[in-house]
Amino acid sequence: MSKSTKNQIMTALAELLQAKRLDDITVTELVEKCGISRQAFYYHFSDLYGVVDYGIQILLDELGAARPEEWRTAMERTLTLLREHRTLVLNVYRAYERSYVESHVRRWAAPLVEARTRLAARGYGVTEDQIGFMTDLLTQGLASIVLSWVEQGMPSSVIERMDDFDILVGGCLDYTLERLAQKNKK
Amino acid sequence: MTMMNSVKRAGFRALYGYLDKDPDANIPKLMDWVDRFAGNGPNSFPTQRAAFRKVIENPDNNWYGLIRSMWTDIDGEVRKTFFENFMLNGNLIGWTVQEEARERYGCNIPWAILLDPTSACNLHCTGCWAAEYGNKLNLTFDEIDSIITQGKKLGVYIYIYTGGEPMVRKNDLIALCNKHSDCEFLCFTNATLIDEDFADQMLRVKNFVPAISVEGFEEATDGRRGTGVFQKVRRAMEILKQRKLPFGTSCCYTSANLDSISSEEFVDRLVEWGAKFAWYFHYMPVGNDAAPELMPSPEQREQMYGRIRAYRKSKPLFLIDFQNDGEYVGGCIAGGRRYLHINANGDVDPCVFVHYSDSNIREKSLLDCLRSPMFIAYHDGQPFNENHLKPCPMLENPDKLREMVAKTGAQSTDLQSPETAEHLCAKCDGYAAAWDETAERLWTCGHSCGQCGQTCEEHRQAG
Repeated sequence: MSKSTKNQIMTALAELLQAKRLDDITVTELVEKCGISRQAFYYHFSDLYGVVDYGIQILLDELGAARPEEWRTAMERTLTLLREHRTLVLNVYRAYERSYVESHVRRWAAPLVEARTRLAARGYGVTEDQIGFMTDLLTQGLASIVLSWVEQGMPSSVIERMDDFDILVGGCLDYTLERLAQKNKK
Repeated sequence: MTMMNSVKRAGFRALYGYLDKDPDANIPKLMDWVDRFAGNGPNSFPTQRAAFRKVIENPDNNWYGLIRSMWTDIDGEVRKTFFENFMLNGNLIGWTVQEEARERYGCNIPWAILLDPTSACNLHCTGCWAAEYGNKLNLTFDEIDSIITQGKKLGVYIYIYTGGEPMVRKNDLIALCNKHSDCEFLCFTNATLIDEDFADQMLRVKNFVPAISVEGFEEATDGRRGTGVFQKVRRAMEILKQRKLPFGTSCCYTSANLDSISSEEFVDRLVEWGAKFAWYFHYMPVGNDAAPELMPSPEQREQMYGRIRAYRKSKPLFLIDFQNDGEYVGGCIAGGRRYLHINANGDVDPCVFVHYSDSNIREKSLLDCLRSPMFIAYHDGQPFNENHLKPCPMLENPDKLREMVAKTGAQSTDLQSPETAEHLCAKCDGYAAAWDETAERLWTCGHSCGQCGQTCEEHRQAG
């Protein structure tokens, strides 16, 4: 029963979000729409934000783990999917502190960027610490691009921008890895 | 005030992060932080801190062992939630809010609220006073939710379920843990309804701690609770231990079981089973069908006094003997001074054992219940005795309860078989008179020699 109730709640919230903002929706209103009790809602979620978190997690799970070689397509798939759920995403963006949204974006971006970094770093004599440092910086870069994009209302043009970002990352990594390896030898 | 709380919160989280990073190296240094944090004000508990420092700096000490086991035996997220909800919200932050409310409203404001989600129980134990309530009464989810919401405004973050068997309502309990994720929930339970699925839900919500009732070993537990119950309890403990979930035990001591239930063998077994705390309750002759002969004799109660104090210096287990530990909490904690009890009918009782009330939570706000004549009588009467080994207005000072009930017109809230205060108190008169001499001797001894830390028995043996 539990998974379907959770999904039922999430779907109902997504529908309510078409008409109003998250802050204006109450749990009572949501459970009435679902035809369930308040306690059934609270068995699964602490509050409405919990439903949104769950929704985002489902989206991210849908994307699945990408292989490092496919990271460019993985980014594009994510952005396309986020655009399809534009109302939900924009609501989250408005309802939460920016730092909270950023943490979600980074949670998605970090493993992707790390895999990409590790792929590029093969054969170079660089330390774990240095890989971590590069991953952090590039994750921040990707997260800011995504956040600014959401802020601008999620225009489709960003998909092309991803090509440029891919080139930038590739160049950065090659150059930096080379220099770090040289430095480490000394 | 809010600003002060953010400072406390930030400081506490930094402290916890520091401990969590390397408990072995940092537990002994904990008191340096706490001392800096507490300052030198009148509410900074200087003696308690000094005593705590003494034990925490010694890795062979039993208290060090108990604290250390929080890192080896308890799930990391559950531990963090416990520190946050119980220590930070329930005490550091909650206490300040409670104190302000005490001053503003001139009444008791509790530290914890005990409530019965239901009078129903899946077992039928011999002589259970809760069973007398019958099994048709329930506080609804919304009612409990409202009690907690009102409680938090007064600084109460600790909620303890009694009953009945609260776990009969297990889905609602999980829902309440989830909704009030900033509170810590404890639950007195017979544990027979704790299964893998429920333990997984406990792990998910992180703020639910069972206090499992046992009567002693298998024979004693099954004798009172029914055949096979002990094995179910052991199974529940195993399930909890596997998932690194914290739990404790609750034991009622009587003239019949006192010796075995307070034996070193039994206490060692509790530690081995994985209990982190053991709460002992003196048998109370409550209800028309009570068996006053089960009340411990003065000699037995003194034995309990000595044993629990000795274990507290040697076992990695947080033991409390509520009737004998009044000295640590200034006597009676009921009547909302530190806690109150709401039964499954909504009646707001001053104590889990004192079922006389003039308020029902379905008719009044929590604050108005605390300002009702019966609760004010507790407020004005506490402590009921200067000797905290005689803390209770019923058991050791029965005239106090007679007087409060007469003065306030509080009614019996026992729905099955209402008992007059006179009937109840008459069962305590003889007990109180008999206990008096021992209580005076222990109290004088314990206090004339200051913080010697010895029991009278040890003291006499030492000459």
